[in-house]
Amino acid sequence: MTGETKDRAGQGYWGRIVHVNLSGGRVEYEEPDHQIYRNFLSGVGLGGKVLWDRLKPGVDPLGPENILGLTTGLLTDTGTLFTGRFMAVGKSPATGGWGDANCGGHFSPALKRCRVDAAFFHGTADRPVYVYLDEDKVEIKDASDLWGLDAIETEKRLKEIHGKKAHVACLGPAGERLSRIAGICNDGGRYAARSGLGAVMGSKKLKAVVAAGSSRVGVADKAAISRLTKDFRQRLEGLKTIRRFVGDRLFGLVGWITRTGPVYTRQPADLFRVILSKFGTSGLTALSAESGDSPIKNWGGVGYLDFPLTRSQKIGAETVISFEKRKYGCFSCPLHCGGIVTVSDGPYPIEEMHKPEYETLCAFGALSLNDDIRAIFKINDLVNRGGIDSISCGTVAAFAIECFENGLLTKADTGGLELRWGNAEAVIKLVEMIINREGIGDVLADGVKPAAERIGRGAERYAVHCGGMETPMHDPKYDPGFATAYYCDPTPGRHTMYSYTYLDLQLLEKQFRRAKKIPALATHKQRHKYAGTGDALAIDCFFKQIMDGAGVCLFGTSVGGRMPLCEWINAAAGWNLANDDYLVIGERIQQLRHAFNLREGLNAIRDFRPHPRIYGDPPLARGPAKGVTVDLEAMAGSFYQAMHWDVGSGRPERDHLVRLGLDDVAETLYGPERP
Amino acid sequence: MKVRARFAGVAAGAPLVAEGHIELKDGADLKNFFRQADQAMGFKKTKPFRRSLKQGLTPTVLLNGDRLDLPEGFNHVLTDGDEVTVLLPMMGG
Repeated sequence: MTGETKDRAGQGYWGRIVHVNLSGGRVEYEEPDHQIYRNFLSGVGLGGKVLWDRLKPGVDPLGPENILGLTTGLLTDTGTLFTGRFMAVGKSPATGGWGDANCGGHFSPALKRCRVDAAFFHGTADRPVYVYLDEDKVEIKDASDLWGLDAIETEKRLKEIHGKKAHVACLGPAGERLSRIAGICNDGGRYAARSGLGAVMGSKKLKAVVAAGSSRVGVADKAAISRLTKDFRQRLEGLKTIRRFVGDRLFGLVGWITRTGPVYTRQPADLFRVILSKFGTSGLTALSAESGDSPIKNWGGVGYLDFPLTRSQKIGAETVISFEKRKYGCFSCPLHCGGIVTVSDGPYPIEEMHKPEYETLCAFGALSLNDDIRAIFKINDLVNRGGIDSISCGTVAAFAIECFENGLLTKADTGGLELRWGNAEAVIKLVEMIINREGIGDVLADGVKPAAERIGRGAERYAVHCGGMETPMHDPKYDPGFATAYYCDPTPGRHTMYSYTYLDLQLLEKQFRRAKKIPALATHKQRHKYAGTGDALAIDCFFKQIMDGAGVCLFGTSVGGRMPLCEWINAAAGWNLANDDYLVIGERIQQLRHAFNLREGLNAIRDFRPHPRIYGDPPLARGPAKGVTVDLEAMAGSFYQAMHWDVGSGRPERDHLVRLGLDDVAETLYGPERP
Repeated sequence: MKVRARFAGVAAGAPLVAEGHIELKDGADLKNFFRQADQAMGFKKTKPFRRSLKQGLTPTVLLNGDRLDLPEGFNHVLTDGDEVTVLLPMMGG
């Protein structure tokens, strides 16, 4: 179908979205009111608003009534930096509530260049299809030949058909088989992995979305964007220069500047940037295993004892980049933390793939006591091709190992696999079985919670998750801010939301009047004072929603230099909002995500409680987290208070919703207001 | 007495993991350890141990694998054969 291309652009967004009904093949363009963008930005906010308005509560996440949205950021393709991320949204089959996942690469600008801010997929096709978009048309095409192909091969085939300019978001076999831990792949192995939205896409028989637009969205004040971008880039370069010239000699001075300067951060963000740039997220793998940041042995171990530096070093930093063939950067990123690796020898040769991220290295390394980097590379290739979330898949593998070690699974159950700690070869085979839903792989393919229910006999004690979502590779006993995010966010078990680490790196108190400085990670004792932490984490949460509405990479706000996020949006959209006005937008988005879950009958504090190992109940007897039990009640209670949420019902105060302009949400949750 | 020293963190813009032994006088405490560790380990220039105290965040210190809280831990008297691990409080991505 050809769409009318009425140009409402010139504000960083097109003011146009497309709805594709896969059941009947109907394509409709919609022009949301400008006020929608003003209230919710684009990205996750726009996605949240559309799903709130159109999705009926109680629908089957894998049924035709669910809606899958791919949304671009308001700042994407506007001449800004770190703004190439898209957001996948839908009802999550993993939690039964709000689902979202975001991803970098080059798909987001390609979709936006189709003169739409977002594409929403409704219904279910009667055969495998892919959807092709450019600025003139949307076409639903047969994908029978693609069904069954792995994600990377699928992308390759579609680029052969539609040209190199086309960018592809697609499924691997795991999504086709409705694995609830499946993700959506683009750029040959970048993943919108969380929330199980790959299964939603698979349930629609939607193998891929191909975006091949070339229209650039306009902005209100191009000169201001250029100036802000140039200044930000110079600040980042300046930090690099300082580090280069004085870092080694006057480390203390750099530390002092880091803590006190207007563009610096409490944590050594400039150093973090250097490490990311050189090593990517693999750079601190060994350190994290030792410090207590990484979960060890399915959250039951201690790095010092079970996975010491002599082992963790084998899967981190220098080891990983020794295989690196070239650097890889997402759209508009000056950092290039990604890399393409090649394994030319050994038992698992790989021609080319994205190097594994920290999350993957830890999930298939420290979590299952595996220090075989070549095996982890092989697994990384398998999950990238298979189309599965490496965090969830690694957690599932560690769960299966612990079940096996404790006799809940036997070789008869595993098809002969000897699932022991550190048996990398067995895990490789297990991952293949999960992707293909073969044997025990079928039991595990939907995540640890359903797997534990199927295995029974107390297997749930080894099933580490929050509300059905497997937990990322950052231990809240090290940074308790993660406890709040894992527990209270509408997408539970998410490490990219809010934490003390981010507060230290983002210095929000220097950007927003409402933000207050908290000790955060300063000392172990300070970080474990739980009461009253909700306000700061709530502000961090609102900031994250602004980022996800704008399409911003979390690292861009965490490497020093103070990203001019609000100023950029003002310049792009032609608004004149104060920074704190953006916090209101961020809160509005967060309240909407939370309200989505309430409408589905989910209240985080009741339904997303983390597995006891996550918060240290009982506490570990040794190591950096010895004796630590995070006070979940204090942290969640403080966060609920900051969010104006009632602990019992989860509902935000009615008046507060009205103050945020969410009258329709208030009416849904409370009923019509009586005169 | 001889104390085993371990460091994991960042020095000169790159991850650094190092291990070695340090000779300390009997009765030396953790403060003494930090004063002498860099030189004893051959890190005269980069000084990762001392600099870990100046980065703005207190490092995580493990004594024989268990956390030793700072600053009170600076006064902890070490004994022969102890193992001190110093970890920069940064984390993976």
